[in-house]
Formats: sequence, C-alpha cells, structure tokens
Amino acid sequence: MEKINGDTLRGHLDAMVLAALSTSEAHGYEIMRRLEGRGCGMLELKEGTLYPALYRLEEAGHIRGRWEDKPPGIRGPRRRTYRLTSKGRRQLVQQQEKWREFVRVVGQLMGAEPCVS
Amino acid sequence: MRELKKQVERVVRPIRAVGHRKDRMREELLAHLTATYDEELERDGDEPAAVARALQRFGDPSDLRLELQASVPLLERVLCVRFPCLEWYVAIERRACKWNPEDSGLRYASRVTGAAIVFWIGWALLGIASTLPIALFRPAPAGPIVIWGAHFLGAFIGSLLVGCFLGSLCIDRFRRAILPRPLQTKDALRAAGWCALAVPVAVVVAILFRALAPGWLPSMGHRLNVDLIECFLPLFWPFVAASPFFFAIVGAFGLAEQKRYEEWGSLVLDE
Repeated sequence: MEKINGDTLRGHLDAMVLAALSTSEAHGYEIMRRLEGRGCGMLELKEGTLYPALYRLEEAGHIRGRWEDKPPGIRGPRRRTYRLTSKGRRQLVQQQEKWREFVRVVGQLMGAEPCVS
Repeated sequence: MRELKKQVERVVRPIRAVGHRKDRMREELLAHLTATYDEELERDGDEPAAVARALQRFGDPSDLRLELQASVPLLERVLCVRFPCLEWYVAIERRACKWNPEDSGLRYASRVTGAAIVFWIGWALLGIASTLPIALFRPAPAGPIVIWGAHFLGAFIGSLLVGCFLGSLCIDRFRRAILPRPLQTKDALRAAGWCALAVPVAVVVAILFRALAPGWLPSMGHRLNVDLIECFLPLFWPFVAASPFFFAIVGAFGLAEQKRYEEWGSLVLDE
C-alpha cells in the first residue's frame, strides 16, 4: 500500500500534533516519532513541516512551549518541549468529532458504509 | 554539524521575522536535525550518508521556508521587510561597530563614531543636494534659509556625534558588565549604573545642541517664522528619560545581534 504523504495530510497536521501531545508533553523530534508510531509506518511526512504547525498552534494558544534546560557542560542546541493547554484540549475534542463526522460522511459517499440519517 | 547548520540557515535566513523568532527557529530546527542525524548515524556509522539522510528526511528548504514564513504574524512580516539597497551599509556598519571585549572602549567608541560620521555625511550630502535647487533658482530669501538649514543640520549632527562617542563608551562598559554568565547581582547593578549614565550624556547632547543650533528660522514670506529650539524643548525630558532604556536596548540587543551574526549570519550558503 502507498504511504500517506504530506500533501494528503495537509489541513490535518495541526489536529494530529494536538493528538500526539494529548498523552504527555514532548519536543518536536519526539512528536514526530509519536506520529510515525501511530501511523504504523504508513506516514511519509517531511520532518521540518512539523515546526510551522507547532508555531501556528502555539500562536493560537493551543499548545505552550518551554526550552529544556541543558545539563551543565553539555553543548549544542536546546530542545523546546510543548504541552497541550486547556484550549488545545477543547480544540482536540472538536477536531476529533469533526474527523469522525468526516469519515462517516465520506465513508457513506464511497460506499464503504451504509447511509445513516 | 556545519552542514546541518547550513541547511537550517538556508531555511531561516530569508524569513522576514524579528531576530528573536528566527533564533528560536534556528535552535529548534537544528536540535531536530541533530537528533535525526544521530539516529541515522547509529544505523551504519557512515557520517556523510547520515547527513544526507537527515537532510532528506527534513524536507526541501524552500518549501519549509514558505510554511515558516506563513506562521509569522502579518505585521511582523511587514515590519521586517528587507531592503537590498541597504545591505552594503549594514555590512559596513557590522564591521565598524563590531564589539570585541579584548578591544579598548576608546577604540570601540572611535570606530562607532567614525561609522556614524560616514552615515551622517551621507545624509548631509543628500540634504545639501536637495536644497541646492532652492538656493540656485529662488530669489533673495532662499540664501539665508539654506545657510540656516546647514547650520541647524551641522549642530544636530555634531551634538549627535558627541552623544554617539560618549554613549559608545558607556555601552562598552555595559556589555563588559553583562558578559559573565550566569549574571551576578553586582554585575547587573554595574550594568544598570552604566545605563543610568545615559542621563548626563543626554543632557550634554541637549545642551550642546542648544548652544550650537541657530534659533529663529528666517522668514519665508511670513509663512514660517518660528523658533525651532522652542519646538524641541518639550522633547527634552522624554529624551533624557528614554536614554537609559535606549542604552540598555542597544547594549544588549546589539550584542545578541552580533553573536547571532557570528554564529549564523557569517555562514556561506551555496544554494
């Protein structure tokens, strides 16, 4: 089966990031690993594209980031850890409901599910 | 590691955003790329192949740049628009105003003032060039106005240059105070003290300007006949009050900008 790439996921990435953060806080690299894990190896996402989504979500107040402290003597770039805010949790619930509705309607349209009114 | 930094810089450098935001992007993207590189290196230990795979996984820089640019608020994007015609001046200024803790404060202040003289001479020449047609083609009252304008401009630039020299001496001291990490209370107090010196510097500049500048603007057929020094007086206290903050901002942000340039801006990108 063909992998699901970034173009197919466009528009859903923000909600997927919120879902990845719903269990616990994480930095960008860890979020990407969680998405890959949940995607069962079927995701083909360019890793850099995660960051615009993180900045959008932070700007909207759905997530909050903080820089990780580096142990003394360790050099190199710091990582930024993100966690869901209460506004983000509400947004995630809304997005999940919308997604279920979308799957149901498109499933009916594609003939995969019987029409339920 | 250098290749990873270059890739990050390819993405971030052209983005129109404030330095602080771009620094955050740089650090975060580099942390991610470094983690990806480490993961790839663990596979077979081949460094060049690990770099290539990490960059491939990261994505195309120009696509990522567009997406990151779109995540910057509109107002910030507008305010941070780049003017290619000013790049040469920024390069000269960056070289002339480079602060080095091993350099003496006097040398730093002289270099900054020299750069300011070049900058203001440019503006003065522009001013003279724009008033020349008035002087050449207008009848009698034009001459005194041009002389008055040159006198006023000279006084303004002269007092600013004195302020620039004295201010640079204080900023040099301020930067030396904030350099040690972690910052101790006594260093912070010393830095605040050097900022507070901006008040006497501002007073000296204002007095100098008052002494040098001509007062009344010659009448232009009764249309403009005002004492410009009187117009400047209400600005005196705000000018004095704002000067310590100005010193602190130039001292701290200028140093941050210099560090940023040394770490990222000086990277040569082969697109």
